[in-house]
Amino acid sequence: MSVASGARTTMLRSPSDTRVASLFARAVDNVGLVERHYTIAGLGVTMRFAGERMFTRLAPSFQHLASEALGEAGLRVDLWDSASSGVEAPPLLGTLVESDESGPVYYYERDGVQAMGRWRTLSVLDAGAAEAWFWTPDPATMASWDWAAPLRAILHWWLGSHGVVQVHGGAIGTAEGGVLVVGRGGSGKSTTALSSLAAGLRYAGDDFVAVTTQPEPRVHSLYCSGKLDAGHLERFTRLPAAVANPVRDQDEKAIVYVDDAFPGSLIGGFPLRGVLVPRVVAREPETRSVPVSAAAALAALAPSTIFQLYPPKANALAEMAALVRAVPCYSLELGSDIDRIPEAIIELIEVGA
Amino acid sequence: MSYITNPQAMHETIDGETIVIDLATGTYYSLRGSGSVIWNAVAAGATRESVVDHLESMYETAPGEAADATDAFLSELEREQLIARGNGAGPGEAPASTPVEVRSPFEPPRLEKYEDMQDIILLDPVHMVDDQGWPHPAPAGSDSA
Repeated sequence: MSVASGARTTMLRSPSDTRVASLFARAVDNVGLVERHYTIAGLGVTMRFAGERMFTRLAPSFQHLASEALGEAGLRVDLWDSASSGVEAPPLLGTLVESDESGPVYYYERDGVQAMGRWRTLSVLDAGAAEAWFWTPDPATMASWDWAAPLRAILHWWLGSHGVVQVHGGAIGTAEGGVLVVGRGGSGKSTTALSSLAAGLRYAGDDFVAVTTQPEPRVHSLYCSGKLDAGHLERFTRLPAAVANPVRDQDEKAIVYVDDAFPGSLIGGFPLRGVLVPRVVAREPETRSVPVSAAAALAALAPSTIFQLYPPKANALAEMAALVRAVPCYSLELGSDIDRIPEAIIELIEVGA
Repeated sequence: MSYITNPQAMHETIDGETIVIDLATGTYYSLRGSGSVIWNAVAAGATRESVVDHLESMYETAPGEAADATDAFLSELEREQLIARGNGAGPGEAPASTPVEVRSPFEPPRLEKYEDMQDIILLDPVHMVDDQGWPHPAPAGSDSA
């Protein structure tokens, strides 16, 4: 099977011209093409998977954003792997800068082409041509947190060029409004987001979501996956049966596709009514909220976003500051009874509406 | 004496508190009280002397209090490598102090330092690659067309 007729054959303008487009075409010839359209933060994205293995590994996280046809400002992302397609790795040129147990780590940017190689994957975006490529040696060897929230770098670059900011945070709410839950890993974002589903709140993400500030502050879902430590997983009745990686390392988080445990709970986005900074207190059963300054919310949101989404936009901090200025911000002091977390969040959403 | 701010430091001020993020080290800071005022003055090109004048125009201060606080805080910012001494006086005049009809009680400059993001930097560095290309060699016999 060949790449769909009319496919553009733009080659990278980088000095090392990695020929990723031709490698993808060969992969499709070998294992076939699976094409899907999505609407991500209001922008159309077409993903073309070379073969079923890449599709089944990466597409489930975007299932709630599927659309019938490519929308405006369409980006095309071609995804393939070497293990299932038999096509060799991109012939990357140059000098090894550094290597660790995850392989070489690098970033490249020139003439509108951005590329990043880390965690044994390659992400490339040619923003001018609205084309991107994602390659991994083998989807089976990808880190679970990487396949659960795929294409973070490409979406960071592409959405950022369209005024959409990807941030490190979770989000739950309803079509009328919801909250952004921010803080570094381990602060309680996932517990807060996932515990809210049993109370009828809907889920836009637990780790990375996108936000816009105009015409009003709004959260946009990126991924329908969630991840939890094993110890926390046991506190949820409905999640253990929905774990997508039942065989995992001891310190590896469990991945769940939220709709499997809570059908109908996913939402593509909502107006933002508040920013929550969770803090595990657990002195008492109930969860309570305490107003905090916008600067405190920015300190919880910005560093963990900026240090995980490379490169930060020059105005990244200003954009996030505009967001926390626009809505009330709270410290969410998490109590020991996770079933009572949603009460506090629903109250805040109603206050902010 | 003028100063230049670290070009690797992003900063934003909300409601009198400045968040500064050092992209190189993973450290971030909260500057409060007159610390936010001093930082923004320095970032705007103010000399040490104009910072002192600015503080004295904003706050009720005892003789020498603004100067002592400014010197101590600028030294702390230098130690954190958030600012460095510039050449000569620099632009010098910023900020243009808006006359304050009622000065507020002096708020000593405060710097709070957070290093909980450094592990992300250390475990997950990203390296810029120059025009030499990607950081691992091409397979033997491949070309770069």
